[in-house]
Amino acid sequence: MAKITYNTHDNKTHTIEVQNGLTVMEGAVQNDIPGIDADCGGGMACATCHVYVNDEWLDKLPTKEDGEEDMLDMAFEPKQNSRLSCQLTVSDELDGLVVNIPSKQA
Amino acid sequence: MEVKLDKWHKCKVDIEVLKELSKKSDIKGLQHISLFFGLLILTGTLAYLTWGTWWSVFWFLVYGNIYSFSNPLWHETGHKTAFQSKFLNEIFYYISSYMANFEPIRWGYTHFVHHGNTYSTENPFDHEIEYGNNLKETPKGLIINIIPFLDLIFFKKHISYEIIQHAFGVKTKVMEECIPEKAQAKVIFSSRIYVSIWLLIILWSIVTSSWMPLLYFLLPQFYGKTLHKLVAFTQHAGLARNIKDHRFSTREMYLNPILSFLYWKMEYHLTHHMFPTVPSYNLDKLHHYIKDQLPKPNNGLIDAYREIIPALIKQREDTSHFIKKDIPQLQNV
Repeated sequence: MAKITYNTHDNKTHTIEVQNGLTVMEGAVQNDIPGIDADCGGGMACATCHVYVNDEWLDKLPTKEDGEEDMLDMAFEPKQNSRLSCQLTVSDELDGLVVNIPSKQA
Repeated sequence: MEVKLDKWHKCKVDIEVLKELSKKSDIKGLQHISLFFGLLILTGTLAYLTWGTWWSVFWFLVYGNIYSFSNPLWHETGHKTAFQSKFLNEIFYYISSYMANFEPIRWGYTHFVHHGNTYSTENPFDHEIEYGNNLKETPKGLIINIIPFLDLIFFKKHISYEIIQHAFGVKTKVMEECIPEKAQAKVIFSSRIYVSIWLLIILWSIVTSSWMPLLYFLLPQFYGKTLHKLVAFTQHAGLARNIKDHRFSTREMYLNPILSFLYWKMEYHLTHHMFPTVPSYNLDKLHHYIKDQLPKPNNGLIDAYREIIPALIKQREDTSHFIKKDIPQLQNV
């Protein structure tokens, strides 16, 4: 289990215990957190689970696989700290992770 | 079949092309919606004007069969690709959900699972598999679905029955497996609204001593479902299950322009599954861009059913049977 904090665009904060092995996207969907659409269901075939990761966490995350950068290029207002939350698998190391959900998805 | 991939297979597409084709448009969405609802108003009016004659039966059948294509509208707005505007997508999502007899919260979650685990019979189970996971019952399920009113007899298999169960707070399999705890109350509330609307329509018919409210707003999905069910059943029928490659589990086909319009171009279903954020009005363009990487599409409904029906019959005896699609890349290896 890891505590993941999702900050939504309307300045609401949701801190959820997410099971190891699930993705940050699945944690949001399973807990009914608004703003993450995940249209492709986690297949890295869209950019609708886009999140901004707090800077202090960037180096602790798994590196981007081939294709994630391309997909992020399609996201709404991608930034340096953008990630697809379907590519962030939860583990103990991610306990305390904070992600910010953009105002809209692609 | 040797292909078993850890990640979903994706065809190669230039990212700039994909970005261009992923652009949404309110104008295109509104054009489509206007024509769709215009056809419903036109055929509904003709049914009304010819009431008392056999022509009315004909026009109601036409009306009902168009009405049932509210399902692809539900699908397109669910992906938020019908319009650019979030508001338009949402409002038409709720309207088309009602028309399609799809309770919007439940089907939102199951469609998420459907895309992440297409045609999966293992954990997690894809609850959008046609007629559950009983291949021996699939032909029967199809027949019940395409003959008008037959599913009133087999009502427990109908999606409306599930809404009634949810309205009474019954924890169905789909509720337990697919709907997060925090969203279950919303499903129950939304199901209660649906049941209330149905009861009001029935009451309206009784008070006015008229079949009209039922025929226009409650029963089209029972008497007018044939064409839509025939088209939509082709999406995955007879194809491989439990494989992370849509080329094996999902059917690409061509349809005539009328069906293609009503179906929001979902005949390019494989392309849609691979690239779900591409709006329907660009799916044909994307299909032509990647078609060299796809199995040969079926050429129309008859061609699709030529491979589906024998497969369904075989699957009744041998549930491991499926239609093996030839993949161009594999042939070239």
